[in-house]
Amino acid sequence: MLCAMVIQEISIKEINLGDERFRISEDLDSAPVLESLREIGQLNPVLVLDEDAGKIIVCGFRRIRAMRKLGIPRVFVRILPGQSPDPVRAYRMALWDNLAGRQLNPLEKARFLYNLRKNFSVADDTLAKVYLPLLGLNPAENVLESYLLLHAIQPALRKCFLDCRLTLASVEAVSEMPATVQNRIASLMEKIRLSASLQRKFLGLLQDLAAVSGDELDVPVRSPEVLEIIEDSRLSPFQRGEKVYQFLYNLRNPKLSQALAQFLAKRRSLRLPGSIRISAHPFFEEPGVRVEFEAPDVERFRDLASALEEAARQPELRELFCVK
Amino acid sequence: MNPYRPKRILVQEQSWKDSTTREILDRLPGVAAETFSDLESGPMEGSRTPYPYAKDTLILMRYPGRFLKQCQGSGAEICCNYFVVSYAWNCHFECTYCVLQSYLSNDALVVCTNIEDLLTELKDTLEQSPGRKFRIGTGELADSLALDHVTRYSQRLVPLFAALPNGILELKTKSDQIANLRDLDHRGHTIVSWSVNSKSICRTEERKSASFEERLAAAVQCEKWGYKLGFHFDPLVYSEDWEEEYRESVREIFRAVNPGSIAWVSLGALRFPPRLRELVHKRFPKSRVTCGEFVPGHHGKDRYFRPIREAMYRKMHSWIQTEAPGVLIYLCMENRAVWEQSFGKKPPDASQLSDQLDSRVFPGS
Repeated sequence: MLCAMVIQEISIKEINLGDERFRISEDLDSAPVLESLREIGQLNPVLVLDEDAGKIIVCGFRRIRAMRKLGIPRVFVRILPGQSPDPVRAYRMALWDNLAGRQLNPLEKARFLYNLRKNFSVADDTLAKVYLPLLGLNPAENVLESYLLLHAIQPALRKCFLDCRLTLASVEAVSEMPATVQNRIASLMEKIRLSASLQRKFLGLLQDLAAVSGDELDVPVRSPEVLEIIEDSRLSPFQRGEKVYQFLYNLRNPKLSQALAQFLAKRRSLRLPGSIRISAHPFFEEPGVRVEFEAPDVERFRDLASALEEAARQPELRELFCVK
Repeated sequence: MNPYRPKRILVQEQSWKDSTTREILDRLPGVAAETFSDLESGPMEGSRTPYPYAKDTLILMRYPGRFLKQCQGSGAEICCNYFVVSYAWNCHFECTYCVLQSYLSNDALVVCTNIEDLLTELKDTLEQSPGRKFRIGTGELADSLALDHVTRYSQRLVPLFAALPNGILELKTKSDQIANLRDLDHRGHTIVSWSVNSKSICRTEERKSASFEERLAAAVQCEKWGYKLGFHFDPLVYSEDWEEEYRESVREIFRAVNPGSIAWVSLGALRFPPRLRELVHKRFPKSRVTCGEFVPGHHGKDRYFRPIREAMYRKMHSWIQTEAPGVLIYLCMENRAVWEQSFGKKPPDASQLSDQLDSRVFPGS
């Protein structure tokens, strides 16, 4: 309850903008907040904590930022009373204030947990049991661990996530990597786009390739072949993404890729009409091929059957069934 | 190999009526035991501890369902018609590729205390079908012998099967815990089998199980006690040096034991559910088991690209045949084409494999 607190109008200069202990918002530059202040001024006071170093913002980072941009010199604040107010309680107020108006994104949830731990010494056990459910998260230690890692990701990766170029799962996977790797992945994502499912497969391939080679995760995407793809201006970001993925897939599965290339080459060598489709079992897991064609009339049927008969006489046919 | 010793034991309330509960606790002096009333609302809830610590917890509980089931491979194109009984779940060996990591819902080791129910069920089922032969393994959801120093269930099972003319028990293990098998009157109705691998895989991917040498020494000892032996090269793990490494394993095994004592040898290339890959990366960052060339296969599991598997089977088959001509070798969960390509001959029909395996172990088959 805030009833005992005093509302004052103070100079915005009295506020210590450098202290972000209570910050939750990821993006402090909010256009709607700026527009609202410009149109109707400040309706709700900012919540501050009075400390020796100045007045510390508890709730209202975005409002203060917008007011400074608008050149508003004085600000209504609500000052938390008492000589030593409980900072954890104050931070909970900030959380509830935020939750009342919007949903927090994962980076904001991560910041909240990180600040509770680092600035206010809340134990991991309490974070997991009390605060994760408050944020709508599963109260498990591994969830806490993931979110703390998420808070520590590089700015470029944060931007990737906020721009929806990487999913939360992808960011979490990359968050365990060194800063240089995070930055290179973020840089790659500037050039390519991958669907959520392809991101998962893409990172899986990188992990597998790293496990095979013992190199850093991003080494394969620094190869000349990948650089050539991502610099190809004729391709859309999604097409580049597909091509990079395919390159990594072939790198990861050389025998399968080779078998597929051989199969396609042998199939071409049979010179069958395009309306006859010959396909292998997925991944060549079963032997044999599937042959399909459609004939709208008897003549076409006879044509296609003749083409197949011709193909049956070719020695290359046998090789179509041979997977090496 | 270090025998399993839990740090705490959780005993289901109903398990106290089983004499085995007290016997197991007596074999683990100094380990704190707590009682719980129900597994759902009891000690497991909210107490899921991160890997690898939870395996220090041993749960003793009753299993209310049927113990005897068909092997999960049943229904495959070529099926060995195997049965499994599971009286324990999970394993402390921490093999990097172990499917139990993603299969079981908790990390603790569980032992069922109502062993009398299991013995009764087995006896009744086998006696009700005297014309049918049952090969039954206990190593599906746990190692058959890893906890035997604590449970001594082998001393109950082996004599039971000795008295069942249509039953063969297969104890499948990566341990060297065979002390309880000594002096048992098994009458040829128990096969002791080892899951074996190359020395390097044993050392790096099966770190807490018995070493290759320990397993082989245990097999030699069991042979001396008159047991028939089985060897399961499963999973075969591909690496650049796999040929040299597996060749050496084959040579050592089949020179240490008499081929006549071997009931069967199975081959199975590494396979795992796709979600296991992530777990392996997380839990065993140095593991190389996910490094091969995998494709989606039967039962939703990833497995090596078919030509890789066939090459491994072909060479293993040839090496084993060279060392131990005539020994029965079969493939686990593979289709007819793979059998044919690997062994160079038409595979057995669905029932023929089962008959061939039976003929190795049932007297007069």
